[in-house]
Amino acid sequence: MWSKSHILVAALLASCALSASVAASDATWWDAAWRYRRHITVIDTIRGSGPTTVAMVEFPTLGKVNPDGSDIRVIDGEGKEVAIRIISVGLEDRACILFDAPKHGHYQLYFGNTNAKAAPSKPIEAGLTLESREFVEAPVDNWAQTQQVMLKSPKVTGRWWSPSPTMSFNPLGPMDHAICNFIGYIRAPADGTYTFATNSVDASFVFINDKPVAEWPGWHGPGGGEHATHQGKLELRAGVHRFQFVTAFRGWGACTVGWQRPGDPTIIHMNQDSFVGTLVTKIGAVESVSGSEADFQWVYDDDLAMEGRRVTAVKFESMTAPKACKWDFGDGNTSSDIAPLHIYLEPGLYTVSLDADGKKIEQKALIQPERGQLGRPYEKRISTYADMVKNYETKQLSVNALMEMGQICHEAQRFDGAIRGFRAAVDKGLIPRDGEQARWIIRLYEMYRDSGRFDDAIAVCDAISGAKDVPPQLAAQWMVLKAEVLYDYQNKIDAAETVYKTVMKTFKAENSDYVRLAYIRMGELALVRGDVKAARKILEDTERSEMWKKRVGDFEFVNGSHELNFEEFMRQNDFDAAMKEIESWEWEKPTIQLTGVTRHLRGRVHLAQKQYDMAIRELDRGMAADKYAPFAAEALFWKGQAFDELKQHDKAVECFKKLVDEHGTSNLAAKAKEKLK
Amino acid sequence: MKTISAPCRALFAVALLLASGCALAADLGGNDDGPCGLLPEAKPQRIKGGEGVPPLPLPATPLRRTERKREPAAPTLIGKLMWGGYYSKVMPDGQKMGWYDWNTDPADLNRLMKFANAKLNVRYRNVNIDPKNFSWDPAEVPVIYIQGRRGLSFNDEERKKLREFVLRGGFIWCDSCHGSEDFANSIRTEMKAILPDHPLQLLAPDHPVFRSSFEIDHVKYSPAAHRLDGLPTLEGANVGCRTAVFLFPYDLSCAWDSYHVPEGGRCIVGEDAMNLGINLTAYTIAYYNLGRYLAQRHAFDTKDDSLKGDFVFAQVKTNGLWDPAPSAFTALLKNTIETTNTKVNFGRKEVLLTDPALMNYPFLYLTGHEDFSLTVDEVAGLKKFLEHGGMLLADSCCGNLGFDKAFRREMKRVVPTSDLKELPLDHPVYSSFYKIDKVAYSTQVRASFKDMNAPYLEGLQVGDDMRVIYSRFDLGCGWEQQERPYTFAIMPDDALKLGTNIIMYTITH
Repeated sequence: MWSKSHILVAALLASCALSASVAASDATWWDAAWRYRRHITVIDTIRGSGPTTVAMVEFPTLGKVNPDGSDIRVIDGEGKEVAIRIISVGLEDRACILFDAPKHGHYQLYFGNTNAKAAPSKPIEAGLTLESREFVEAPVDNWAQTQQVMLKSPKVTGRWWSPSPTMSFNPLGPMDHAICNFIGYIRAPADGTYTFATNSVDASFVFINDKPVAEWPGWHGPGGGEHATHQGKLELRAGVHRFQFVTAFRGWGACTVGWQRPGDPTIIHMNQDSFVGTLVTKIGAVESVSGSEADFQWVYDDDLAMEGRRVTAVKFESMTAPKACKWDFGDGNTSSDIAPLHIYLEPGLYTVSLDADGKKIEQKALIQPERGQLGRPYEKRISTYADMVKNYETKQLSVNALMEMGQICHEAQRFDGAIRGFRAAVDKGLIPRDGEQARWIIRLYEMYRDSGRFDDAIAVCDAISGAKDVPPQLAAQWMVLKAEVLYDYQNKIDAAETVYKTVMKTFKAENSDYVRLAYIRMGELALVRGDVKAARKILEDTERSEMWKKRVGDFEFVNGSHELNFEEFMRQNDFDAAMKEIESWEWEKPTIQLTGVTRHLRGRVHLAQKQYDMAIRELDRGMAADKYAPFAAEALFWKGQAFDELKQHDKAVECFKKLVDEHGTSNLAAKAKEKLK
Repeated sequence: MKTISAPCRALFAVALLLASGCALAADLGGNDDGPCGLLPEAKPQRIKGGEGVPPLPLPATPLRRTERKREPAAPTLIGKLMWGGYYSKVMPDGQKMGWYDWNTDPADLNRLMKFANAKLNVRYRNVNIDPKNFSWDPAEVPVIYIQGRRGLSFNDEERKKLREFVLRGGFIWCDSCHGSEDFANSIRTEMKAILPDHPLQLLAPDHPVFRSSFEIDHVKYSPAAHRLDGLPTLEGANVGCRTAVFLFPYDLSCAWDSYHVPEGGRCIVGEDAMNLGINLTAYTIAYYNLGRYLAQRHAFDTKDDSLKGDFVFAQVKTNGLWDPAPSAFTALLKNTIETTNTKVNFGRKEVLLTDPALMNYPFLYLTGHEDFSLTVDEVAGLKKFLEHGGMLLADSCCGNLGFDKAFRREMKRVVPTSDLKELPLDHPVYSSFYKIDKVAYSTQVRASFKDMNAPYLEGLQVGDDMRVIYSRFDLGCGWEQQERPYTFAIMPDDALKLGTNIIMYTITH
């Protein structure tokens, strides 16, 4: 939760001063069996509604607390144990507890005794906690079913205090498929009738003093009308009551609870002030029986959770003041800052280590997409993130993290970082099966291709098409993409032909769009080599093939519609769309290649994109298909222009002269004459 | 004589006003003024449910922002041309109503595009065209749609721009709202000035527009049209094989707008009009690139003397649309040279049948799009040409029935003693260069003549020799390698083969 960070920041600011002044005066060790302690200062700030005598403390455990928290003790200024309630311990090397603090002021927190037995528990009725569990697939149309699901999913993904029972997404686990259980203590201001209301994407239930009050089985549950009460009424005495709110969701989950107290005009959202509050505390650096230790804590900075991304920025800080720090964040990246900010590209349990002046400490940090600060504009966040992640060491990052790295960098236009991320993902064996991944890997291929790094583009194609268990459709796609680079960009016609032939042979039975493209390109290669007969045969066979019939459809206005769309996209300066239009034109009507018009139009796109070499090549290919083509004059004119731009004026003059000589009647001849002057 | 007192005069004025008001009201019901179409629909009322309404709004939802490239805007297909003035009047129920001359059916194109996009599975949009800032380039807006009820007229500059627009590949659709005669006649007059060489004429029943998406041979007319239901009446002007200008003398736009039949309107009604609109859309898209193709100058003239042989070919000019595919014949010659190494005159001579030089050409090519007729002199000229050993090749462009009928009729006049007969498959013309026993036909032929895959040429005996070869299906457009969608044609590849064979046959006989 965002406020965790506030406390820790405050704690950090105070920590040095406190550990120097207060800890020194409080030197007596409570019990030598407890090997570590931290100083706690209770501040008179209440989170939630007051009055309260309960304080809450969050602290790094250095991995020294027993998994069940049985060795956690809080000792007051007079050396007496006070009652505690553990909110969270054992999931990571950080814990959160409540303790009785009738007299505000200074306390000591002891831990690190493996033999300790749990202190006798006393009910501490304050605050609100949230626990998130995995969801085991089963219906949750009513409470009984939901309980069954909870029993079947003992795996807790997160547990911490929560500012309110409203959430946009699960902050402590998966964003979809989870059960979130809020437990807290509300303060009823007066005797009377209370209304509780719930709303959620999927199922949710409200209990007061363990009695069901309101439920909503979600939009999708059967019998929605029967159970869809959304709200319920109940008589309550003034005072503190136990509150429980459970939401179980199979898709994305969001939920909220409201109440109407006696005298309230309407139902209002329950917020922090609806619950019995807790006092805020500050903690000091760890002290050990055997001397000083390295010590650090971490604070959530912000994240991209509201953008649906599971990327989190975390600030690490040493609690002592070392001269030199060496951090290892557990994802292969390191830092030597005193207080570094680190971006985790993926949630998970990371082992973070700090070497402070030779003293080493290791702690496990559970990184989750916390409720991010929404203040900073998205664009700013993304560009800060991109600047940080673009140089990440990619060795230990997972494929998902690498894809995230690529996307962030791409979005912030740090294309080097984007290429590094996506490329590392491919090298790790990513096979872009789903649409989103495929889109990004094709983007990688395009970035390589458009920046002239053809060998890299081909390497990507090879990596994917050559991977183990790659589906044949994908293999065909990436082989054809490779051949496209060879043919369109490198003009290596023979090499391209070999690839196309392999595709045609290996994936003969595949009803893939790319196999069809291979056939079409083979026809075109024949055309470029001047074998019109062979070209015609391949192209006509492909066009009439039954295999793709369904997807092409049987409509006669293919030529017209594609040319029309092409003109429009050129007018909009959307060259990508124009190029795609030509590609789908060739795909739907392979025999159009025989007229050379599509190659000719490609030349026009390249000309507009100032890729003059390629423009000339494509215009030549267009003319090779049909030297008496109706666009002959146009092709010569454009070629002349392209040569002009390349400063090859002799060739330009040649083109314009040929245009004037051979196409004297053309309206471009006059323009060419002007150019010749 | 007593003068009329002031109050009296006031009364008189009121009476005048009333009278004029009545006249306006009468206009409304008639064929003259006021916008068509229905008033905009009221916004739908939200329905309140009892249990389904949650008492609390859900919090904000996370939104995945990935950098998806913006879809390009849908291409523009039709632009409604703005012309004329603005009018307004108060309706009998007190509502004020305003309309423009050019926009008497404000929603017609929106709805037509909606239906056509869905039916044809395409994505196009419509715009309004302000003639002051329009490029007049068919690449920007392929179709100019002119709609209205009053007569209109263009100035010379506008006419020139419209002419250029059509010749560069654009289309013009004119809808006479309410079936207004004023509007239709003014369009007819204007088109005569804009495209004098391409006259508006009634579209034949086998025009592709009647089958481009729906098969339409029967439409329903509104009562005021005083017509029996039957074939749709459309007028069109051809540029090459492409009908570039359409005039709907019976209103289509009211049905496109709201399926609404205005009182006294001469309309094609309901779904029939919408289907016809969708057909028009399909036809226009299909013929768009043909228009652009025909607009390019085809410079086949060459200075290369090696291409010029002794054999000269010529194309016959008639009083019909004799030149629908200007580059077809030269394309065939070009192909023949390439594949057979025959020397032929590379270029096209256009001749009249009355030309005394006709005898110099051993070979004539005759084609056409619609009906034509020969004068007595032309009949005599052609007869003389054939009897002196000349050869005539003819094909019906786009496989149109109009030309087919006319050609058979005229040939009967030229050679009354002989009939056109189907050539047997073992005829030397099918083996003079390529061996042809199968021919690919267009979708339309395959749909109309099941299992048709044999070549089908007809021949006419003059004396002992076969002097006329005629193809009832289109050959010329195939030679050009430019398909005419929705026509009765032989596919380009086989058309070229047949053409080459015919030339080789002629040379060797």
